[in-house]
Amino acid sequence: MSRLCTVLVLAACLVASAAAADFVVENASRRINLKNTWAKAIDTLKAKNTGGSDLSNFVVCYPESIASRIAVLKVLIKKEKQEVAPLQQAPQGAPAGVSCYQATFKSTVKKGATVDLDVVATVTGVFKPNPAKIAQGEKQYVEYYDNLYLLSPYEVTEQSSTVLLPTSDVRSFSPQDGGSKSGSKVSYAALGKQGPWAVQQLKVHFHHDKPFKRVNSLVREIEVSHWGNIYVEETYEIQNAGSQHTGKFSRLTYAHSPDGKTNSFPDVKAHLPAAAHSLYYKDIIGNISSSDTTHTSRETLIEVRLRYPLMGGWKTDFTLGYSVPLEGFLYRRPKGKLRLLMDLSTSFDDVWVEQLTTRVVLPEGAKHIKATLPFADIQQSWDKKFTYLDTAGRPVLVLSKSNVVPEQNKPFAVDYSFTFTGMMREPLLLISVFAAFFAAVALYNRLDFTITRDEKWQEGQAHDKALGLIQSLTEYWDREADVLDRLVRLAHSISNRPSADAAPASRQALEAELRPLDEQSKALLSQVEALSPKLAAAARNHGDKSKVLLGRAAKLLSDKSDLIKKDVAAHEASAKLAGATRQLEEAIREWVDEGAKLAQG
Amino acid sequence: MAAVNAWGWSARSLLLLLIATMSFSIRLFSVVKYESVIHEFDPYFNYRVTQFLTKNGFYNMWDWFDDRTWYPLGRVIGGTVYPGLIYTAGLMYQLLHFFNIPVHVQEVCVFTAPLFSAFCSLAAYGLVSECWDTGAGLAAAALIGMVPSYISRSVAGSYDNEGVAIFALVFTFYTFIKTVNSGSLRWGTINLLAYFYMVLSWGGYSFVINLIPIYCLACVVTGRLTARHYLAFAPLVFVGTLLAASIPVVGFNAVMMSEHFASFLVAAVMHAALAVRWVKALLPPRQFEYATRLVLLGGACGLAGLVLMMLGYVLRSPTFGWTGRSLTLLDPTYASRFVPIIASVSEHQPPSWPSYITDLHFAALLAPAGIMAAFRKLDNGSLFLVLYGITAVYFSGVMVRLMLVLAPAVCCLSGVAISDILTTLTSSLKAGYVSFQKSQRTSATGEASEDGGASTSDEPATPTPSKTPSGRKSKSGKPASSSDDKSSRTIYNSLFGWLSSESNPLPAPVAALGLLLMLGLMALYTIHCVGVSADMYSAPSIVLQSHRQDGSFYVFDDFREAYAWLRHNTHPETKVASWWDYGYQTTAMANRTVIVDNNTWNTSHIATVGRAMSSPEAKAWRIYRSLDVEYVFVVFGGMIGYSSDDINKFLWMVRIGGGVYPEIKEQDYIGEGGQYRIDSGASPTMLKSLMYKLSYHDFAPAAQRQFGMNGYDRVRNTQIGKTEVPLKYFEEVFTSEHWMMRIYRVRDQPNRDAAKPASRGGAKRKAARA
Repeated sequence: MSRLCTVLVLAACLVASAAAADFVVENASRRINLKNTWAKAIDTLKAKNTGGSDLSNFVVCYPESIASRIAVLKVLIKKEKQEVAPLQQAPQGAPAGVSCYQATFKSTVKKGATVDLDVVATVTGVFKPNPAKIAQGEKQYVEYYDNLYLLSPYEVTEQSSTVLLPTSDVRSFSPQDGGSKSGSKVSYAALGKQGPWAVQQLKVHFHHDKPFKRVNSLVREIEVSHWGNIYVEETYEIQNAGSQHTGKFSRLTYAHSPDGKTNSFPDVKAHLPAAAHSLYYKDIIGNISSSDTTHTSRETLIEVRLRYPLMGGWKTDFTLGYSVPLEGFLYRRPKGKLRLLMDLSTSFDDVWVEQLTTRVVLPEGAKHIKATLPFADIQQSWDKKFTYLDTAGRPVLVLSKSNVVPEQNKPFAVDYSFTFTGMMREPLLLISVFAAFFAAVALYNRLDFTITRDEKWQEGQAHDKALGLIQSLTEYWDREADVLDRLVRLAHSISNRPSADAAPASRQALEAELRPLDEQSKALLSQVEALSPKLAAAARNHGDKSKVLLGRAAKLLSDKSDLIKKDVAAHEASAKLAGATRQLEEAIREWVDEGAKLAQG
Repeated sequence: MAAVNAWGWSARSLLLLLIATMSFSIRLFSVVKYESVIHEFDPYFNYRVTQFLTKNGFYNMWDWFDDRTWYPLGRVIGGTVYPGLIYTAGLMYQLLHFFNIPVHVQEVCVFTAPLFSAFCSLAAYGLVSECWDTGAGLAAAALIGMVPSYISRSVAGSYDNEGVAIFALVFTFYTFIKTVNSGSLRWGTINLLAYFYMVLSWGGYSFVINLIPIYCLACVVTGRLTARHYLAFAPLVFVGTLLAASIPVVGFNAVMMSEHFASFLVAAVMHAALAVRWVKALLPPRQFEYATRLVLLGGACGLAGLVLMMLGYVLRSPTFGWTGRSLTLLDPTYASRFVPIIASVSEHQPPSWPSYITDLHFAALLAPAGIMAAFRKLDNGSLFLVLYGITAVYFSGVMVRLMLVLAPAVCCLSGVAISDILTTLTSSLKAGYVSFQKSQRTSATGEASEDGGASTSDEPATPTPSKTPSGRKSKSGKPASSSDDKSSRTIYNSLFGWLSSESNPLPAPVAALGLLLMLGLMALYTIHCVGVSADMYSAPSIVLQSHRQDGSFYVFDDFREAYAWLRHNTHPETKVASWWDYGYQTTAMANRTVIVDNNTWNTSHIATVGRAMSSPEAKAWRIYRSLDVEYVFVVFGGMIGYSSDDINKFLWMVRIGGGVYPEIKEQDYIGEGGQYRIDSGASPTMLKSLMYKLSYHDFAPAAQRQFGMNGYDRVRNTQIGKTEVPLKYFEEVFTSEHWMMRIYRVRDQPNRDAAKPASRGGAKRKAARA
């Protein structure tokens, strides 16, 4: 394997060294834009194929200090991107500390033809604060180092370099010769003809008025739920990467002095999707109570105010979370496949991310997962996550990349397959667990855990059964009580002769109501007898009492009828029988109470 | 009948479920109005220990030596905490995570207290049902579910021992009474476990281990002692004490401290009483008399010896074998005289009358009625309720914090009262309705109804369950109806019948009015509780809110702002000094080592910090350097009018500092008019003190911009005494947005002129660390 590598590298070297001689850069114009908190170097080149054959490779080089911090490197021909890959080893003749990349053209450059190239490099973290520490209110000065000439394996016929600065406050620039400063621009107009690998250090020391917002680490977790939601949670550690703040931090100065806030920032702004909802913003000690969101039809703008303003070197962390619906992010593909389309990185303005980790949590049971990524240097790995109701764990695709700038916040796609049954798994799981629970309880109630089955247990069983029977007997007793009550009321209501005459008939009708029940109660009683003679005796005794009561009620009725028939006034008759009536009522109530007690055992 | 019972059972279950839900949700105002966050001070410590527990496991927690606090002493956590709450939350966390429910520890901690409040109302239902009846149980459960006193300590986020301990307390009592009533060994075992949980949870277990002996003693004295009492009490004393002693924080205190002596004494008395009874049953009366004399003589001698020994032991220790906090219970003036640290805590002050009304509302008024009712039917259960109520009232009078113990007692008694009153009123209404029907019926037949209001006869055919009061009466009391002098009874009834609880009903309109009044009172109670819960007890105190003109809220989040700053922008091994109130918060939120914290176990250490704050800058600098302190912060409310700031607490710093270091004299800090003041009448020592300087450094010009008055302090409502406050030994490194937290760095060397207290070694140490 390693041998193969060496061979490949050697081959690459040969190709490169061969290529080195074949192009001549006729005109190179370098524009180094330092206005932002990262540098953007745009080299506009006109290269001529002076070799003996058609060429399709072009080599661009940078000093190691810059190359190691390049976030984006693009080689454009007529705004069309060409493929760029780093070279393992610098071409022959290169001075130490140079890293090169090789662009492969889509169409070859004919012998003798010229090609116009734009080489764009976005480089983060290349500003070196000098002085490294400043006090509150002092201006931040930084140094920028680069090669003055186009660092190239090719001969350069004509070239110029321009450095665009954020302010016109420039402490120094070198080399002084050939350079001129006008406003916020330092330019080297005619640098003349240079051979390959022309090296001269360019250094600009200037005032940078923007705070350097650096996200040291960002972990994004995108969790897809097929029930209609995609959760996004982003955990940031953010730092002010400019000159270190030193000495006193005065709130008085910060709040009230015009330059108290220099080199600090209190917030960052994010552009979330318009459909984002359920936003939260917190850190490990709770909500951060200060943020503003604005919803527009195109986006949700969130102004995330940090816990405290970040002076130079200060850092803090926070978590920002939101949900988006599936529509617009998850697409159906042929053959039951699904495609998730999400942005790779943060949507914050003006920040660059040192270490980005994006975790895509797919539903449990997702299969055939394949990611389509916008950049070649993203590392993929796999993980598992267990959340609500998971048994096997959800597959997690972990994407990591370092040194990410906002322009790299490109969408990436994850294709996978997921079936409807997979979606119903968790509800079914819940249903079956509950069903099993209820079944277990039902079963438990029907099982008998008695260890010994002695006589006492038998008695207990028989007693329980007998009690159940007696409870059905109470229905009959209730009817009897009802009849008794109606008899008493009947007695009350007799006030004249016709009603007195009718009394015996109504009494018989009432008693007749009970007769069919008699048989049933007897049958029940005999069953009770078999189970528990004691209870049966009590029940029978109770039943007998009711007969006595019925008799007493009948007597009361006939007494009343007799009195009425003897033309005694109704109220007098009632008064005469008041004692008997009350006693009967009392007896009935006692009887009912007794019945209730019997039924409860 | 069976159907009626089933209905009653399901109705009760439903009601209980509703009550439990209500108890839980009434405590969520803090989450709704603020956020799901841990509150105040002590909960932060519990939260931190719980975090440790969930990370490192149960066993490691016992061995945890915390070096982030009490620098340089540290603290053995396992041996100094009541782990009940922490274990509970830890278990819930592990259970949830076992089922892959990814809840954060903080959420578990936040919702522990409301959850256990719901359990507590269920336990209260059980207790009162055992002591009285299920109706009263329901009323008590509803009352306790929303009693403000309990809410104050168990809102969501108030993650403190009391959150689970009140449940444990009520549950222990419930199982105890259940054991006494049932005589079942199973319930006895549950009672033992409940007591163990109570000891695990809270130092207030000493209330349990004193109340139960008092109750048992009362049973012995009143002659109602039975074997069931023994069955309930003996395991509690013997096994319970062993269990308690197995918890490190209690340890040998379970047998050495006077708080536990009552239980041993009562156990002895109980044994003696049972022995006497046994001997009496064995011997003929005459011999028993002799034996009594003999034993009494011997016993008196033995007891005298024992008492002398105990007195000797108790007198030997300076606090008479009592801990300071417990001694405060017996002598309310003890703390203010001897222990300023205990006295400085507001929850250790005696409560004021209004706080009884705020915290208990009409339950405080109904509780005496409950006691009266309980006395009328004095049995094992109601005797317990009465004793619980009376002792809790006493303790609550000593310390605001113990209102918490009183609240369940008052709620149980009020539950009894409400249930009794409502039963009387409704049955009167019903009887009135029945007699009204009857009179209509009889008048229709032209007969005069002769029965007065005294008749209780319902419709004979309907055996209604609503006859519980009379049923209970006839069960426990004397037979009511037999052979009275009829005429005297009617007169009595006509005069006082409505007073007695016998089934003599009130006149219907009175009953209806009373019912309306009761319902009105209960509605008022509910409104009061909800209001108090929403407005008074839900503030997490680390986030403050103020209303804006347009009705929205303005949030002051300064504490967390500063703690977050400390966490992210200082070296992890930095030592931070502040007044002890903020110790727990600093360790939990800023994760930095503190000098003192809310576990006020070392007075001299706290006094050192108090002394530094009270000293002039140079001296304070030396003290802090000697403690390796790199950052000092003060809480300052002068900018936004936050009144519990360090200047207002300064009095205690001086007193506590002065208690150990005599060079701090309270007299020096008192300005004109004998008051602590910071305005032009302030004493020179005050104006030179570090506290003044750290609070008011740079403040005067800011106040000028803010209020248009140089050095205007909004809390003290005055202009400060000295507006120019330069610092020489300290350097402001962070001040939060509203100036509430001001963090200073202790300089390696004094500013500019290093002449006076030259920096010996200080700079070197700093350099070495870097």
